[in-house]
Amino acid sequence: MTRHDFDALVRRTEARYAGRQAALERSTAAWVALGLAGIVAWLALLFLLGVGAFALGVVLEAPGGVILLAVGVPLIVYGVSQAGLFLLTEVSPPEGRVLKPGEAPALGGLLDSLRRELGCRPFDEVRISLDFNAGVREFPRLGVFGWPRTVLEVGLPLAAVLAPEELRAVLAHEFVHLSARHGRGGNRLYRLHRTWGNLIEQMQRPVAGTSGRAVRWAASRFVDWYWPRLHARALVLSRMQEFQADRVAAGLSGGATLASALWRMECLWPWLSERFWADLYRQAEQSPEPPPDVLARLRAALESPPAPEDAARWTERGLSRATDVNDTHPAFPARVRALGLPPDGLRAAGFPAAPRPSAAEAFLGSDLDPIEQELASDWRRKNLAAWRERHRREAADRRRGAPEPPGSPETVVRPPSPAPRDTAALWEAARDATDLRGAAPALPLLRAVLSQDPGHAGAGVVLGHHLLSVGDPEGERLLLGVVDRADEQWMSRACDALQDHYRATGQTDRLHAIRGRLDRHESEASSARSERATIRPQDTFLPHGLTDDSLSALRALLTFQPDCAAAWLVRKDLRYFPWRPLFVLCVVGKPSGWGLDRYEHDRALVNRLIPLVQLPGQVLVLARYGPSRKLAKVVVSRPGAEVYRADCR
Amino acid sequence: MPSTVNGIGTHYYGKKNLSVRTAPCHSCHRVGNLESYDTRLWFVIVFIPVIPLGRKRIIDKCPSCSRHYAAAADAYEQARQLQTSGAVERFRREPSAEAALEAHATLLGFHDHDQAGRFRETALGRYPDHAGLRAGLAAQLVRASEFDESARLYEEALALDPDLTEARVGVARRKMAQGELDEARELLDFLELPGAGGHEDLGPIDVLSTYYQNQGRHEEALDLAGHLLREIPQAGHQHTFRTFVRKSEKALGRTESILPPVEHSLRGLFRAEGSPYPAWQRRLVAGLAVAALLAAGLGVNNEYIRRHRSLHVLNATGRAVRVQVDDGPTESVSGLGRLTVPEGRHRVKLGGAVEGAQEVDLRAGYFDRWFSKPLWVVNPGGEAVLYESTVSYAESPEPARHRLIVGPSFVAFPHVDYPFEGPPASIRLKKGRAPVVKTVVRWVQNEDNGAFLATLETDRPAALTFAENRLRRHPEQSPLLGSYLQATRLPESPRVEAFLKSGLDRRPVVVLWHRAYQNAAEINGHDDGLPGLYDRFLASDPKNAALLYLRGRIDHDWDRQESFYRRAADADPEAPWPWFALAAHAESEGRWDEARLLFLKARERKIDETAVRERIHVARLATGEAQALVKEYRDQLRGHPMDPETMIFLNDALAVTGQADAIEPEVNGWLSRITAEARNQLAAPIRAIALYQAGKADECERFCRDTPILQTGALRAQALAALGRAVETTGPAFDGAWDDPWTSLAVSLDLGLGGKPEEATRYRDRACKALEKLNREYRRVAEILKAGEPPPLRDLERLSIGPEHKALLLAALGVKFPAKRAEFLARAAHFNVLRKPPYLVVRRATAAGEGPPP
Repeated sequence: MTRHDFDALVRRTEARYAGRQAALERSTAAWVALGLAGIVAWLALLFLLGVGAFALGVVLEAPGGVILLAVGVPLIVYGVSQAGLFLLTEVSPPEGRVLKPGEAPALGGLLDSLRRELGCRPFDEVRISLDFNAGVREFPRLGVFGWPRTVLEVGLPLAAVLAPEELRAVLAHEFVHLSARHGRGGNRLYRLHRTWGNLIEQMQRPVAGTSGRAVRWAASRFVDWYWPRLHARALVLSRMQEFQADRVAAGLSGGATLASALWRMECLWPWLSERFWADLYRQAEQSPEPPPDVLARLRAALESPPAPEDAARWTERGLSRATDVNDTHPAFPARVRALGLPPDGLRAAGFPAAPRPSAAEAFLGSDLDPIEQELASDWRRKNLAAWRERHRREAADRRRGAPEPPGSPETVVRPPSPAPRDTAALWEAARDATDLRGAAPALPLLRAVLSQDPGHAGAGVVLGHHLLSVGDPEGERLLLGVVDRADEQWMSRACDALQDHYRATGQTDRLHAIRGRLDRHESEASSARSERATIRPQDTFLPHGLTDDSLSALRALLTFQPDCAAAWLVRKDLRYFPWRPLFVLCVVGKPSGWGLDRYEHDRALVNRLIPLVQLPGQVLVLARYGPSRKLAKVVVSRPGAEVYRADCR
Repeated sequence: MPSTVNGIGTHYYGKKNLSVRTAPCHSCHRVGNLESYDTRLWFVIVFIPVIPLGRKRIIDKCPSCSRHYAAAADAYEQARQLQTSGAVERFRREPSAEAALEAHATLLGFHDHDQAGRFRETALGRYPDHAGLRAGLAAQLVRASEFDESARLYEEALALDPDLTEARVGVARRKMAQGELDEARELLDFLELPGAGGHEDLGPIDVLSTYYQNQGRHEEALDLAGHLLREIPQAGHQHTFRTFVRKSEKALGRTESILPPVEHSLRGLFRAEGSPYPAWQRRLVAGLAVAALLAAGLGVNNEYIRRHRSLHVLNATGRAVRVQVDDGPTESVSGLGRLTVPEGRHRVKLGGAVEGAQEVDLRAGYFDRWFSKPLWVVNPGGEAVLYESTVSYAESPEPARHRLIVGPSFVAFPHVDYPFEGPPASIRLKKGRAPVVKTVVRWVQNEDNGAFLATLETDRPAALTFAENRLRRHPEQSPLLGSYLQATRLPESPRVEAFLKSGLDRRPVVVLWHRAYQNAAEINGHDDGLPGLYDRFLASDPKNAALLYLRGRIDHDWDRQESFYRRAADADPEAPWPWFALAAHAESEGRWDEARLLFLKARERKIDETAVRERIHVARLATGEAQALVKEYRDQLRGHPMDPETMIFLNDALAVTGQADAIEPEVNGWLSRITAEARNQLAAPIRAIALYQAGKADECERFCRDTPILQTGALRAQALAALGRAVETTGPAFDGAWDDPWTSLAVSLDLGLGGKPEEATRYRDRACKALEKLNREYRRVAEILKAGEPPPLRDLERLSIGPEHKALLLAALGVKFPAKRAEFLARAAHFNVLRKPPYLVVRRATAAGEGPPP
């Protein structure tokens, strides 16, 4: 299913189930059941055959009974093993530090009061993590039989940026998910995903035989049909559940408080990813050891407001963001509007300042420091290797004579001057610099590549992506240029960058257009692969279209083949990506001796030529006489195809 | 892969465009010269290529195991050229290390190692200082098994960039293989950093730890394992990892393990990868599950069989039988029924056609329940006949074993392959396999008489009981009744009489039954009350033709008998017996024409053929129809050759028509047409009697003398009597022949004719003694023989005995009473029609009667 079709499907689903969350839940559950039905049907077939043979074997006299038992028992055991393999999925363990009994009594009290107010059961476990998020997860104690253990994960960075009443609103939101058993549906989807994952993993193995291929084909066709339809419902349902949780949480904590919490999360998420973590990792260039106090640094960083242009950009994006079809959570403006609040009212408030006290300080109290230290220590341990690697690469770069490592983000890597380097070398250098330090320091190199080759897709994408991230509209122009040229290698990344940009800025029409363009490109690329996979006599062939200059190298090469009598060159008429030509070069050797074994003679000539022929596109070299003589005949008969004849020199 | 069977199948022929490289085989992993070449696949017969199946490109054919990849040559060549030229052209158009790696990988993917080598040199020349390119190319060469070249590139990459992780890993792997583990570990130090598992593949560390362990350096091995465990905690639950760690810990003598406690996982039982259980444990669990289920299934199956045994009820009574097993429900069974009961002792209560109870014990061994097919049969009243036989399937099958089971009301067979069903005509046996013998049990129906006769020899009481039961059930079975009456001996006559008496009240009247009863009562001397009994019967049913006939039969007065017979015929002109009785009267008096007509009338009215056949034969012989009979009997024998009686009748007719010489060829021809089994049984007696019928008494005697079963029989005694050598029968060897009073009388006649009156008297007395044990009519014969005065001829004529016996009696009396000699012998000649014994001795007497008395 293409993105365009999927978008339309999601919109149809949204329209169909607008205001009918229960109906959508039922529909999604039915689709989940359908997804399991295929596998369950297979297992049921095994069990049915096995149990049937077993039951018949029990009641029939020997030898029929014993034979049926001998058939039925392995079938049952095989069915059990298949059920175990497909249905027993393993859930990745939760992360973070478990809140021990007696720790953070204020947080415990908050959770108790919320539980009482919402009338739902308590969480089985509370974990403090390093995520900038809060969420509820369910872990089935009995596998497929359920009996879930619920875990509340509260990210310490989130608690650090929220005020106590804001965290209360967020936790109320999570309690609603718990009380409405939203996690159950999510778990079902997760298990279904793992189950099909197991099946697809089995299908990756080599298969022999028609029946195996047929089963595989049928399964893949089913997945292609089924998965987008289920996914569309799941996404729409997930967003509805978020709205539902928001409504209830707002009723408990106040709409303005919840909106304030969401606003902080919306603004501080880009600050964290683009500024705090980026700056922190940049320190690896100088220090081989990661800092031991990452969370203290976070708190300290929160005290300093971001640069005004960054703050303006992030707040504007937050207020403009559109909900993407693939989002499980609605965008901030939609959530705030659903609470009956105007999003633009927050524009005046600007980038939110650090709360005093923060929710982390208020609810974790004296336990904050030890928890913070534990989490920081854990982060440090997990990131030591990556940090060292980054540090080592930087040192290696310095050793190779690259410019001095930047002391600040403004430090840039400049192209060597004054001797001009070829585009490829410049591009290599630009990529290395981008990989190591990000695109900002590599800007001069990227611009140098584009100045030498304005159509350079790679440089256009990397530079365009960076420019868009800093709000420069030139980035969009560069990326659209790559899209227009439909570069096979960079098209996907260009479209992804543009999609992120249009989503962040709420340009939904352009977002849909670019997704449609990407669909078309992928379809054309697939067709092009098929078109270029074979060349048959029935294909249409065009004149080679090469200039004499371009042909001179080929003619020279053929001249040096003493046994080459003549050569013909044509170009296959291509429907997709015709600017990447596909040539067919047909050669014939000089007759020798009695003319026997002419094909062997010509084949030797072809084998010699294959690695030597260099034309601006794909090339198929074939002998005039041999297995491909029909194709060769068509090539030779093409007027103007002859590019070389030994006796005409 | 192509394959042939006996030279037929598919085969490659031809080898062109050959390229060879040294690498390990993808299948057997042995290093060898892997060949890639173009060939053609053929369909071959006797390895001669017949049909071309297409050109193939063989890729990496292993010299050891011959496994290889195969692709359509032309399509492969097109794909190779197009993809490699595209990738190389992309590199030329946008040169970069990534493009170089992509092109190089494409070339290697198509096994174009030569062009890949040339391209590699070009790319490396373009990027001489690019460590990443060298490491990338080296990694691709490792996958293509070009280890030497890859090692060189890794070394160069490491020299260019000592921090390049790919190069460090590549060189470290080489050093591990060379045993330089510490150098390798130094190169891999970045993988030992905390958190390395989050973004690096720790596989090389795993491999290094194994190398350490193999070198016995367990400290280092455990050190690395500890790091792996910290980075990938779930590895601690994998069996292979735990085994590895335990081995080193054991080698170091460590008591405390770095491993976490075992975490059992249900899913771990079903997957091989990352399972906490070793393969043998998983296989054991699966095997145990299979074994347990199989054992449970077999146990349940055995118990099910034990609880669901089939108890067959074979109801031959013709009426429904109610069967109740223990306290279970009552079921009605007609014919063959099957009840499901558990094994053990049961009480089977029968009701309806048969009343009674039967204790049955159904029992089989535990394993016999799988390997045997027992058959338990309840036979209400013992009336059903079971036939057990074996069927041997073999090239030269063994003779079948047979057993006829008559009488028991419950039979248990330990194993029956085909219960109440026919075995297949043939089964497929494997060559050289021993003959297969199957057991068959059938229910023999409508063969009561045969079953009775067959059982009589082996189990006389059971046979008699069976016959009585069956006759009670089906009194109309005249053959069985006849066989029963014939089989019973004189001492058993009270039993016979009592049995028959029990069925006298049955209506409609079964004439045969009553006749038999009347005979038995006469033998037992209980005939005085018979007229009264039958008068009572007639009083309640005066127009009953059968009763009128039977009443007449027991009347002592010849005329009253005639009267009753006439009344019976009037009461029911379609009743055969009155006509039969009237015919018998005519026969007794030698009125052959009338007898013939009346017997034929009785036959028309469906009287039992056995009762009239011989009598019609006699009457027709006596009335000059012998020639016609010859033709009829020959026709009958052509249609039914297995009828010895017809053969004997034919001999009679031939002899009467003066064709005595034709008898022997006729008999020989007949014997050749009957089955071997019948021939074995019948040839001797038929030949002997045929010789007698042909008038060749001397040949008959010689034949009997030379034939063991006939040496001391009645026929030889008759032949000797016919030859005037009856004196030779006086020894004890012939004691068995005197049970038949007529043989004694024939011998007596010859002795009388031979002038040995004392001897003749002794044998006459012996005959009388035997006759006195028979019915009233025979007792009268005995009285006549013993009387001092000759009886009136009329009395003799009104004796109801067979004409051949009457002829003998008349001849004997003619010899005894010279005064009546001419009269009696003339009359004897009138009755001496049949050519079987005692024809010849009577003829000798009548011939002698034409001369002076002896």
